[in-house]
Amino acid sequence: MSDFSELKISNKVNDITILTEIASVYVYILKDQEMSIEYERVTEMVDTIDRLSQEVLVSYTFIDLKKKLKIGTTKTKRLSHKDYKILASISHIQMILSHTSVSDYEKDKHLIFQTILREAGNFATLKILSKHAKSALDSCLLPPSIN
Amino acid sequence: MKHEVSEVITDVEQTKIDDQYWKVLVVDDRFSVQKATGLLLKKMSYAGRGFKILESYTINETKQILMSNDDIALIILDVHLEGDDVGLLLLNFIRTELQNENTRVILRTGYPTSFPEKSITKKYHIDGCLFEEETSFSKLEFEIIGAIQTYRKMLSINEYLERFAGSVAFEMKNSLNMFGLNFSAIKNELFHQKIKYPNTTTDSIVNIINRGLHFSNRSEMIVDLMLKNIKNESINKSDFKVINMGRVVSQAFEDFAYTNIDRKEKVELDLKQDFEFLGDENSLVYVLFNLFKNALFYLVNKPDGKIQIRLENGDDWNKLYFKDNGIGIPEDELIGVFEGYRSFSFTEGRGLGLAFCKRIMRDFGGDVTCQSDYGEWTQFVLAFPKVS
Repeated sequence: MSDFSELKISNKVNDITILTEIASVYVYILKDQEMSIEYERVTEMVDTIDRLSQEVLVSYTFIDLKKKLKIGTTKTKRLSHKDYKILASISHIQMILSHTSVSDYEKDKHLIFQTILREAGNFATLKILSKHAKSALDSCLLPPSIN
Repeated sequence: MKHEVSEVITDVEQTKIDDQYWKVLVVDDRFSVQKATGLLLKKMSYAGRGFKILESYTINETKQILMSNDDIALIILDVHLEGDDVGLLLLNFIRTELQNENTRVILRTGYPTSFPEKSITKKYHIDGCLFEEETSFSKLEFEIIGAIQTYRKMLSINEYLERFAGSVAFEMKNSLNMFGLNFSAIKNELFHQKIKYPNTTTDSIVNIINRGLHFSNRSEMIVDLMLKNIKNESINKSDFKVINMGRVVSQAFEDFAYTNIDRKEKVELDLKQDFEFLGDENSLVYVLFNLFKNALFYLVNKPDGKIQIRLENGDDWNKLYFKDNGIGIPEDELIGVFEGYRSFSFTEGRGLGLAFCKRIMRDFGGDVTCQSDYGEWTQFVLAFPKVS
């Protein structure tokens, strides 16, 4: 078995597990269609998503160091440029929330949820996301029925 | 002296603050990135002005915004918008197509294969890089302010240069005008002398005076063109006429102010395939003078140095080839030869002159390109649309 195959297998368990965890947090937020989750709770969940996505990206660097590969090798093997952007952009929701006061949150709640919804939609397109996580997300992202 | 200059710059800066916003164009297809940057900019101010965000999610949208806003201070550009080379294409559009040297650019990147090479950073004057995984509000704010400071300084310097050039041009035009008036007065006086003393021979003097008048008029027009260059203005197309190329080339060849007669002998003209073009004679003379000036500068210490000008009456385009066997241009500098504020290692830089030559050629509906074999030769090809 080549080094590359080993790399794929050894890493697969880790990143896919974390991504599934991120998907489950997104699902939790998206299920709240009335946007009734309080500011602190949303912030906490978005922080979690941000931290987990950072964890995925950092784990690739660790693998490179461990395998004495050029930094960035695992990242490019596991993620396309588009997928990388999706993971990295989660931090922007965190930035928005951390600079929004509680009163502004109530005012801009719709925009914040719309941003989270879009990010979740992009997240569901990640190529390495498990089918299970993807379908769970997709079910929340479907447009609401007319009835 | 330095003190005086900085005082002028500060004065100019003050006038700029009256504009309400610093415009920042965010080119990114991610909603969250646009909204987060917008939120930050809404809270920021610099030098008494707030920030205005222009959002763009696609290349076409970006091009439209850039074409209709020439006062964008900063572009935060996602290098991977619709593909790997898009960032580069947009940079080329900004710096080469629009000839926009003022707007600052910060790249947003982080994917291992997307880091721009050093030569790209230098070529397109990139101000900074935001690494996706390290982006925070404070980092973003720091980068934005740094870039806006550079933009503001560039505006001030440009405005100062514009004012300075305006003053010089005014003085020159004034003097040229006086020369013209005096030449006319002498000509008039000679005319009356001729009436009084019919046997007097004044023809040779009148010829000299006519030549003086011709140079004085042409110089005035070239000063006007140079001012348009500095002010980034185009030439007036409504004055375009159908002009014979061979005649203009011969005239420019004769009129150019050679510093030494030997230099004139270095020029060879091949005007057999003469053609006509629609444009402005003085503008083309300005282009040719620029090419003469650059080429002759590098032929000084080259006994076998020569300039060959050849006309070609083509099927689709008519062309003027201007070739010299001087030092040539290094390959990595060739691509930016028509960009403003570039002087390479030249003392009498090709800089702004060539940037304006390109604009003139485009105003004519044509273009100018440059080819070179470094150390051997340089050739400028001026293409003109056929005149029906």
